[in-house]
Amino acid sequence: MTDEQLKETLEEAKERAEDILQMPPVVQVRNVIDRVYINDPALKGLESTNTVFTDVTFGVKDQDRLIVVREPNGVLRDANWDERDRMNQVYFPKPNRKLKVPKMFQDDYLQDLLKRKEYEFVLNMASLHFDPDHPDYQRVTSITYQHINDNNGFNMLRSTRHFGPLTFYLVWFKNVDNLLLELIETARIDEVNHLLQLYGKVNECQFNVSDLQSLDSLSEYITNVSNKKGSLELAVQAYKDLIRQRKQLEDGIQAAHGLI
Amino acid sequence: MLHPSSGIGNFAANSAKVIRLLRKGCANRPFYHIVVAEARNDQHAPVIEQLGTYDPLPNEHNEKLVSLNYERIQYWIGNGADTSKPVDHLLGLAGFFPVHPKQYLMAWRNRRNQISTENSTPIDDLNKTS
Repeated sequence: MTDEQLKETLEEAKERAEDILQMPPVVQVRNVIDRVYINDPALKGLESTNTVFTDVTFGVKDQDRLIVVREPNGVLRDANWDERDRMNQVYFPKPNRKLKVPKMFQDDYLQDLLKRKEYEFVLNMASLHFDPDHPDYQRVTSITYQHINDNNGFNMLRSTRHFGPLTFYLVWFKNVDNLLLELIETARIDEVNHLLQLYGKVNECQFNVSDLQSLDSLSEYITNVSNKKGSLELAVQAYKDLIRQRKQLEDGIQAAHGLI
Repeated sequence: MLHPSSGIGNFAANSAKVIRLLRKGCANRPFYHIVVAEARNDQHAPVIEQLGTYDPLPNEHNEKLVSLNYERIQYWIGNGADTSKPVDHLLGLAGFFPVHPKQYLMAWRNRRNQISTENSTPIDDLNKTS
């Protein structure tokens, strides 16, 4: 491979990585649809079932598509979200999405999966089968994030597209102590500072994060906000010891090579 | 010769066109395409264009499914295509056309029959009372 080819391949790989690492959006739960176009009681008795009419005009987006339902009592109304999702999947199937929601999202099966720490699988399947504003998506993801937070499974999601939403969830509910502890224990101080910056932005408080390698903002957080002061302080102390030992080792190596 | 069920797009100049149901599916399992075709052609001739589908058997959620390509239906009606009665019924229920008068009549008859069956006494009950 020549240098040019290598460069091209690297750029292609970067584009692919950007696709793979695209984060699922974090949005509000969608509103209930309750629009009634007309109530025609004279049609009562004509049918015993609902009739769903879907507009399959070319080039209309799934969320803009006109889907209406005529009920047996003569009401003509907009289809609710459940019916809309079903009709969109019937007439315009998304690749790999099933027509019926898999049983893995029911509570028993979900708890079993979480017990086996299949976090990435659950989140991937949830973002495949639900839209981000679907109530079930938010239920499944929040249960998974909570489980990760309780069982310290952050490493399972590191370098995946779900780490961002996980962090946002924890920051939103002011529950970042476990994540901070894990970041300090794995000596990622720049990430600690990024996390505290996000925390400050979302929850409207200020931390001094001008230097990404300093521990100032962290000590500020521990004294003012944290609920787990003891363990966080211990972790900070251990981190400082680690840094000191590393410096000692480096100095020793330098001395051994006769550089000092 | 086989032709695509989505239609071939060919038609004679100034021919009369009609939007109608075309039975697909198999024995005991009706399924319809809503198509625009030349009015003089029979159901086995290739159609001009498919405009939707109609599944008359209710699914597990108790729904009959109809899909309609409103853009093309408007185009063909604008070009003078006629609509058959079953299509009028469907478009009436969809709120695209006014509801067909026949459907009001059918609904009224169904309601009347239901009331008369509710009021009449079953034969078993008659035997017990006598």
